[in-house]
Amino acid sequence: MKLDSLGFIFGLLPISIILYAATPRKFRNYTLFVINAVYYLFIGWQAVAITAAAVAMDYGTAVFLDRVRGRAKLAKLRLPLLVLMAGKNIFGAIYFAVVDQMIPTAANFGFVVYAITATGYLVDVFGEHEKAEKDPIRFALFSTLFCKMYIGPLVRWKDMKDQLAGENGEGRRFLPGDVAEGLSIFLFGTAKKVLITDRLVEFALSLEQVNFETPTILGKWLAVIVFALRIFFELSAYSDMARGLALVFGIKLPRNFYYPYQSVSISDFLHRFNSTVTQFFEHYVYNALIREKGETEEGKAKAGVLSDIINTLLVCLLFSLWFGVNFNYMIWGIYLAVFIILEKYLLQKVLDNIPMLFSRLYAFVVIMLSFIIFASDNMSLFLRSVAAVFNFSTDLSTTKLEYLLSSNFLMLVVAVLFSSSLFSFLMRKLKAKSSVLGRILSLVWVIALTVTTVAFLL
Amino acid sequence: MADKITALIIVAILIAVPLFSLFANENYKQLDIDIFGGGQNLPEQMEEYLSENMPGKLALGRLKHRLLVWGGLEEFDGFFFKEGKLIKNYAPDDENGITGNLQNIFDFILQKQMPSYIMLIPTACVVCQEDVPELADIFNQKTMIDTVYSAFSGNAITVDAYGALFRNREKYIYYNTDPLVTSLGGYYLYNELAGKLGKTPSGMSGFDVTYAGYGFYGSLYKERPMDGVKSDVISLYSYKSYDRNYTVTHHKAGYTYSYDSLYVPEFESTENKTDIILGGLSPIVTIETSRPYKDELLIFGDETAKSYVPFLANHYAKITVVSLDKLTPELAQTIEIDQYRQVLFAYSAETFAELGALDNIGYFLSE
Repeated sequence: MKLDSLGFIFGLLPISIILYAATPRKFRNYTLFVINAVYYLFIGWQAVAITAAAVAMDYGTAVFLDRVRGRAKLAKLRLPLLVLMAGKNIFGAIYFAVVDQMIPTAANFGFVVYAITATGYLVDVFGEHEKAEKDPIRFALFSTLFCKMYIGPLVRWKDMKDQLAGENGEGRRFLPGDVAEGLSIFLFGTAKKVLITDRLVEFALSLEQVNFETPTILGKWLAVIVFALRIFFELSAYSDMARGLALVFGIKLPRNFYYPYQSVSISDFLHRFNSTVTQFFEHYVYNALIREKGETEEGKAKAGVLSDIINTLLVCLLFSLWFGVNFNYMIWGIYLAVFIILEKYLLQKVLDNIPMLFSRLYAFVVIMLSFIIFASDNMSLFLRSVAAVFNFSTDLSTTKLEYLLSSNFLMLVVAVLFSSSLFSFLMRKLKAKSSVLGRILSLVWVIALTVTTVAFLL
Repeated sequence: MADKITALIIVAILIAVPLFSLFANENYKQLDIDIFGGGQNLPEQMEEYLSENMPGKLALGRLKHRLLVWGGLEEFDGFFFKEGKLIKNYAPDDENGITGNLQNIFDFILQKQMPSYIMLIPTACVVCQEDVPELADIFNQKTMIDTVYSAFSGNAITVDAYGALFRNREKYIYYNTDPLVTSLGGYYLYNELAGKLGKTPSGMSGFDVTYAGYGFYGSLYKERPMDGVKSDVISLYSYKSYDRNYTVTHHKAGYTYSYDSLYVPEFESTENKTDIILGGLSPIVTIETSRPYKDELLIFGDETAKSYVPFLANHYAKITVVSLDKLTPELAQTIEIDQYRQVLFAYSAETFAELGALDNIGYFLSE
């Protein structure tokens, strides 16, 4: 069962909302746990089994790490146990990431997200930044909440622990405002997936065929831009669906995408594109390594340029591996890291002083070129793609390409529009002028989107 | 309060849709959800059920297509849509089909040594060029037809069906919702064909026109139902200059039946309304006409025969239309080739390119 399916939208979702609303406040976590388990069951019993085993092990490990803090003998086991469980998670994440690329099965569902989330939690408990959660239901919901298992957002325990406990530890309220906003965000995310992402995938396939028959300059650049749009819409759609659904159940998840193609630098891009992943690795890797050198300014200075470069490379590599265990993703991560380092040590003053339009243009070109690496399965394909993109001796276009473009022109315009902040800006302006009109238009917009999405799902 | 109303409205919609799909037309009686799946797990069953019983499904389908059209899309899964017309973009899967069928005809002509005629009829996407996007990738049927015709040079007389239809492309010569040539298109084909067969074609004024099947939607619409598609009507042309009596006999495996007219009104209430003409096509259909002619014509053809045969019937004592794809060896034996003065091979370009479409012509050939 997918989140953007009729069975979920008109089946599991309304039933879940009714059950959740009808549950007394202090038992709502249990209801949400059951809903979560049912979703995993719909994915497959393998997903339930593997996730349950992993949750049980990590929950038990965290509780143990907490309990044995002060005890001399047992405390020696803390580090080996952390390494073992973290190793288990990392190995599992790599294994399922590789296997999933070859044979997607139910067993693979969300394990990468789970593994990274749970490992961060264990590190926090080990480092005594957090206390282990005693309630296994809360831990299970934090680490396996179904809606965020596709692509995130990645959350840390500190982001969810209070929300899972509810006000004064008495459970979460069921607020109409959260339900309204959550469903709007979820339905908007679904519309992004069905109306834009799926159309972009079809367009990309047709474009690939046309480019294969007769490569042209326009065709190659169009393929890069369409790929970039597709990646953005696919990832942001799932993120929106996750945020929206979580909000319906009273849990606020952080935003993951902030109009990444409006970035002013590559560093900015990494904080706008899958930003929770960047923040996660920055906290657990970059900042941790810097802290090793000392928490003071003097300590940070001691870290040195070389250390900073290595840390940046590491974070970017981990960020790239989030998308899959693939050689081209690693090259992509290194490419981004090179530009981040260049910006930090050479280009920052220039970028700060030039008009924003130019810094955005610089970032846009660098990002688009990076997606050539991202989209290439192997080095040979990457080199051919780069050569094709910069081969200005080929024809500009063909009639076939122009026909394809004319058939998809409006969809491309809509995709570019919604990948920018323009629509949100206009909605905010409208709501600022008249909150009633803004609300009515928002509701009409959500209903229209839902009807259209259903039309395309049939 | 506003939040409550918004939340209630959205949740109400999410609940109303599945409830409506369950209880409208008592659809719940058809529900056969197997929780343990069997061959199909529960989410897939739910998806299929909701997909089939979604309230307003047809309207939603039309909405989708309308939005795609507004978005600039003019081709949908191989169909063009313009000004109310559905046109199928045809391209052969395998060019070996053309070669094979060409050889089959050649073998027949060489063995039977009788006056032979070939008419390949292009499909709408090639003739009605104004209704097809200018830059669309269309298979060049004209070149294919010319290549086939040149292969028969000196062995058979070819009929320029492309030219006949192209000159009249702005008229209603193809159905809006069916791939067939209309009766008017059939008249233009007949005009071109009759001359080649040594007959003098009758002018349009020699026919009375009545209409049937008003507002019907053909097979293309069933494949691709779209909002804004114009419906069709079937024109029935009847020769008025002299009295003619027709007997249309259908020969099927083991039995035959006849109609006493070229047009069979009973088919107006069936799904395939174009079968009003000749009562459709069986493996063998013979059209016998009362005086004054004696000639007999054998046609190896497809559904396009319905468009021009009613006009040709005025010039022959007997026309036999053989659908090779439905023919059995036993039925083939009932045809005496030698009694026919002329043989016509008439197919749409689409049929002619199908692999093995004319293989059954081997039933008439000696080893």
